[in-house]
Amino acid sequence: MTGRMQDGRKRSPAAMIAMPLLAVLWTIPTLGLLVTSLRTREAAATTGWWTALWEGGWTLGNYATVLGDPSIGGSLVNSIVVAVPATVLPIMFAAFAAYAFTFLRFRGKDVLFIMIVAVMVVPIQVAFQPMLDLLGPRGLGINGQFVAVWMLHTGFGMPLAIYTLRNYMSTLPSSVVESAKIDGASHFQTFWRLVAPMSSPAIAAFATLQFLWVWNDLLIAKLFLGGGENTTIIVSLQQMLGTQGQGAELLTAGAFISMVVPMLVFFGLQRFLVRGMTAGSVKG
Amino acid sequence: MERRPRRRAVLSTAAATAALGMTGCLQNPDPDGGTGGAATERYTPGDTPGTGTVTILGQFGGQEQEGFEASLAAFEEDTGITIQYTADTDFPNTIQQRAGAGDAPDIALFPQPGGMFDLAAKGMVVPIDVYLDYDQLASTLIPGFLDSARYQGRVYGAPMRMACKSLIWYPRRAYEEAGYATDPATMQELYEITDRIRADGIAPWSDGWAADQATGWVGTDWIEEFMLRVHGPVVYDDWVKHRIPFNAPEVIEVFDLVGDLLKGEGNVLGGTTSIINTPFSEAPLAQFTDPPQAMLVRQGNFVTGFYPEDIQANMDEEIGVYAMPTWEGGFDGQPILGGGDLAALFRLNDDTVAVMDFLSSDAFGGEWAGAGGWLSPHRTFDLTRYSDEITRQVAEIASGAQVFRYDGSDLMPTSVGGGSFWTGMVQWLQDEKTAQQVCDEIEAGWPE
Repeated sequence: MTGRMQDGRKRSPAAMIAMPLLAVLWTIPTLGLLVTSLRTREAAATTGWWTALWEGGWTLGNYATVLGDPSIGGSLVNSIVVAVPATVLPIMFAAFAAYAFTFLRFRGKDVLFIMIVAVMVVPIQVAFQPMLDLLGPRGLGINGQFVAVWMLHTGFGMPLAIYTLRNYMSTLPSSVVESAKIDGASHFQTFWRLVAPMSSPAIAAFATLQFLWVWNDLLIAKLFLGGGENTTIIVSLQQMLGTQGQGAELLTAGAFISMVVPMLVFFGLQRFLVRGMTAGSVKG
Repeated sequence: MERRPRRRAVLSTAAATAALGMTGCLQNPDPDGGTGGAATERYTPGDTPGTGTVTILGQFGGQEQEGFEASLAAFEEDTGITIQYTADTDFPNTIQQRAGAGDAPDIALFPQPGGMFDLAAKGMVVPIDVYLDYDQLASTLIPGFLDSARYQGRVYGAPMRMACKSLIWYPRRAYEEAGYATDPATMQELYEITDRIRADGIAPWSDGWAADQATGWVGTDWIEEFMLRVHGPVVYDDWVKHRIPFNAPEVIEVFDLVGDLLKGEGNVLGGTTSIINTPFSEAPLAQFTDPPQAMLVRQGNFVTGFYPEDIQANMDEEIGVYAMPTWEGGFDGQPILGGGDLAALFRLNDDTVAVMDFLSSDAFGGEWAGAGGWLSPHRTFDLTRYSDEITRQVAEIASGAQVFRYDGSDLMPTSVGGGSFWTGMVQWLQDEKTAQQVCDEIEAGWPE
């Protein structure tokens, strides 16, 4: 543990104390949730979760009830069906757009970019009513189908994606793109062979964020997918609550069940993220 | 799509198509979507054939949803109608958004009439006199219930579930062992009981108001209960409908009376801090500690669902209940404060009318009653269908009431009944503001 890091620098004792402390601090809410999800409703209501070790009140009943709900399996699949295209689509479009904003010259480029940044400020909630009009029976009539949510998540995710990817791409050495141009590469080739691989850390980072956002989204899924057969897991969990909040103890267990898939995605992309950072570089 | 689409269809979808820059196969939107409210004359079966499917949106999920669906199963079997129920905890907002976009469900179950009135004002809800037998319905319902769904003279929703709030719960074993009376005729007699409980070293009351952003609603119920008892239903209606100002002397008087009870030294377990920090669902837990920390909880019938499991399993022997009594020198009759889910119809056709007919009848709910946690709004509902004696007793209390009044805060404008009234109660309980200050502020903020 002590001594030097791989690159030869000395380890700081302050960091060695502070980092584990912060890590523990950051884990406390999740730990509390985990313990609470394993306790009965009365135990959770009367004693703090940290007293569970000696106060007792443990149960697997919450998990059994949630997993016993016949709609859970289907809604997990629905969540994946929603989240994967809703992550891939905005990134694909945004990467093209970011490339254009970084390396192409065209009229109105700055105005367009400012407009895109400006729409990031629009709160998603105020757009719901007009979007419901557009996608609902008065407009396209696709409300309740997956394509409606894909479109919405793509639309709402794009501004931030374009902004982050453009900012990242502008830090890439322009000499790489220029030499590609001299070698006769088209824009398409430059994008796929050079810029996209070099931007993979930014893309992976944004993909993680977008996936988590879509996975945990309640409002869009609820309003545009409804509660029918296309229900996502988050909406299903919400539907377990009664009028006065009966069944709230199931939500803690449900939260952990719904967490499994995003965790896999996160750890999967994290490897990619680190590899990406060490990969893209300029050589001779 | 045809090669030359009809002009109207082109116009109606042109804007949408242009906005998205998409062309190709677009489904023709239903031109009649959500406009059933325009009908004014009597609906006769056969006018519009149904589609075989009826969509219902409501607030409750979980066990309540199971009970609701179980109650409909036999009906679906008999009629061949498929009912798709969707639960949404955020129902009040969702229904406004979906109805506003022409995507309303066929039937919505409103937990408060306020949101239904908003949509009725826009002509989206079909009044029940169009398709139900109003007089027949009124004759079996608890008197006064339909008035809560009345907007500008017409009734827009049919009750399908009742909540009875004027109930006082006690832990039967401990309470009867100590020999406290279970039939106080007046609040004054009840106060004598609570004095004895306090003298025995137990907190008479346990109460909880915490409910995240809705904290304070339990407090509004206290004020409403006392308004009904001290000043009677006439003044109560005037107050709820804002025919007297919110800061009228009668209201201030009631605040002071409730304050005597809730803020009185040693009267409520843990004092006012505990009231603010305890969810209403956890207030009864103090009754079942050994020995009990508190004896009485005033709360609606739905609170039984939050009792500890071993208590719920043996409800009739563990829990006792009586109606919150009258106020000596106030209104003479026994008033009951309650609430209820109102089923409102958005789209008229044979199937939706058949479902509404069943939902609003006293035949609905047998299975739900058996599962527990549900009360029929009908006096004529078969009491034997309830799963336990306690619920039967509550049903009898409710149907035996001289006066039934709907929860006033649910009838007030949302900015008051779901806003300033709640926060005002919290500020008043914590002594940040006096009753006069709180009532003045609510009055000043009452929307025109």
